[in-house]
Amino acid sequence: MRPGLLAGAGVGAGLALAAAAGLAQAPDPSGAPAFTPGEIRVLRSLALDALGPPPDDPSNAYDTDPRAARLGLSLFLDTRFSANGQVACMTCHLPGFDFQDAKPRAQGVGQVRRRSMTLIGAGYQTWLFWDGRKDSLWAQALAPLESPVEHGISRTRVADLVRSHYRDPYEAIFGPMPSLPGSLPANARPAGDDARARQAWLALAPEARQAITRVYVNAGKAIAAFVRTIRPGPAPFDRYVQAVLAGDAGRAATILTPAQVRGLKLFIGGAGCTNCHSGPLFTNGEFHRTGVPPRPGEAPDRGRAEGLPLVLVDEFNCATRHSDASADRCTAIRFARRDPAALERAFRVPTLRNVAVHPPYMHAGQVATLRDVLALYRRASARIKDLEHGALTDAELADLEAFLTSLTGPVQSLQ
Amino acid sequence: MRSLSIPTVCALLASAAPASAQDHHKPGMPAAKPLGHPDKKADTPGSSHGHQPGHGAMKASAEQMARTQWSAHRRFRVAYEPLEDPVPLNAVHAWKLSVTDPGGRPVTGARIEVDGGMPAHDHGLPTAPKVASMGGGAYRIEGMKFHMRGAWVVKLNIAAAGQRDAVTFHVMLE
Repeated sequence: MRPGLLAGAGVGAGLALAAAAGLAQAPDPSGAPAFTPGEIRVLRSLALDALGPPPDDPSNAYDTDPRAARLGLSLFLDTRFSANGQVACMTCHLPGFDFQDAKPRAQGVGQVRRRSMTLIGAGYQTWLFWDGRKDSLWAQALAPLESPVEHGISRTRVADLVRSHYRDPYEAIFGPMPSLPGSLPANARPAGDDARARQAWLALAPEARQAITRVYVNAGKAIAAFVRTIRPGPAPFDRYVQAVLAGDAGRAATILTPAQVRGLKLFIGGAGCTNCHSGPLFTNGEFHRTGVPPRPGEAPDRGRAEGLPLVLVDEFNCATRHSDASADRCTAIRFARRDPAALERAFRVPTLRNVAVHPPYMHAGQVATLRDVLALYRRASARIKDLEHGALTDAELADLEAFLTSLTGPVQSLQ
Repeated sequence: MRSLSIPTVCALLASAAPASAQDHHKPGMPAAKPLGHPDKKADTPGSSHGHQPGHGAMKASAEQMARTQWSAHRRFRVAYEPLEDPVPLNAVHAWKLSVTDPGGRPVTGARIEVDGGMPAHDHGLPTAPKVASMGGGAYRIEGMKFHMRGAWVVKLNIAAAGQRDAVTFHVMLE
């Protein structure tokens, strides 16, 4: 499959700004900004050239099937998969807006309690959601469908819609559709939060429940195959690293401004940002407690402490019969820590790709601007060891912010 | 199997810090002591959070960084070899271990638990690795992962033939 190019308005504007700022600067008369061999190694590790294809997901036998990705894209855009006919995956993960929205907290058919995460590079993540309560993209994709505040439907409705509207592509990928009852209850699912839906679910024959869940799971695997194609494209930072590695100081100086270069040096050095924002996606994919306050008037969100016990017993985790992986390949679950208390109020480190054009920030969108995030982390330096970086000046925060704008690039995906 | 709590890292740090731990060996003292809560956090002057890449480096000596170490009470000699070398950043990987007794004989049937973390950052390992015996005093640790650059410690609590002891490795992720 050839990923197409989707560039959002915000992204385009970010690029134009960065380019204009870069062109306005004369090359540094002293020549190339000096990077130590250690810094060069880190630069290389952060640049997009270091990003290979997403890892195969052993729990999804269809994750690299272009037909599955194509079906997944259709499902991703289809608002029939919602209680009010107005919500699809794309409602919160807008194509053309880096597969994210601009709201502090996601809004489906109801109010979601956390911010939508961008899907840029989601196919590289071991854990999904802010709290890592899913261990695969397909299991993640299924959760909003049955969430009463997101799509607000159930697997019976998903199976019915797939049978009615996507039978041919479904069967081309997954084989004959299992035999489903002619008339499916509109809202029937096993979770315990809705007693009537659960009662309706238990009223179905075991074979019917199995067949419905099979179709539901395969819909998730198709959506995951599409989401896996969503990848970051080259940003000014990546072009800068290429120029630096090529020893072309003149070209490098036309790509990042002096402020951005100072910010970059802080980012990979004294500010300690690469402690967590490492690799070409600028995230280690793990969970860190950074002391972000909850929204005013709300109780703290427990984050990973809540997500860890959930993923270990999840109906759709890698070690279940719905997964295509043998148990020994379920690395995330097999070696997961079992002590959620140590992860109280920790959240998954998000990618910083295109971060500058997507305020607000943090798990509940409670921080309005990048500058506010940096100021918050400056204050936390003394308390949170992962954030410790000595005293940064206002000018240094401004440089860091300038650097972060250099991470904005076009986002590629199947379209 | 347990992962490391913050006090554990500090306790671990305190026990790992003197290079000559064996000199303080008191015969009969339980080696793998209960993981206590130090009254206050270990002061870590060596942890330079200055404006340097490799932030968080807590300097371990070349001796401490060696891949073969005595356990704290010299009951076991332990060598590790990462199956990906150098030790990869942020990737699950495996280590091969070999455990011998002071006479150089392989220690078989040991029960080994993995603990560890970043002392300068007050956190443990991101995973709970598992150890399997490969026979002949060889073991395999699966599920090792270091998700940040900087100085890590890996502590193995070893129980074999009625003896318990702990060995500490210092690992620097570049």
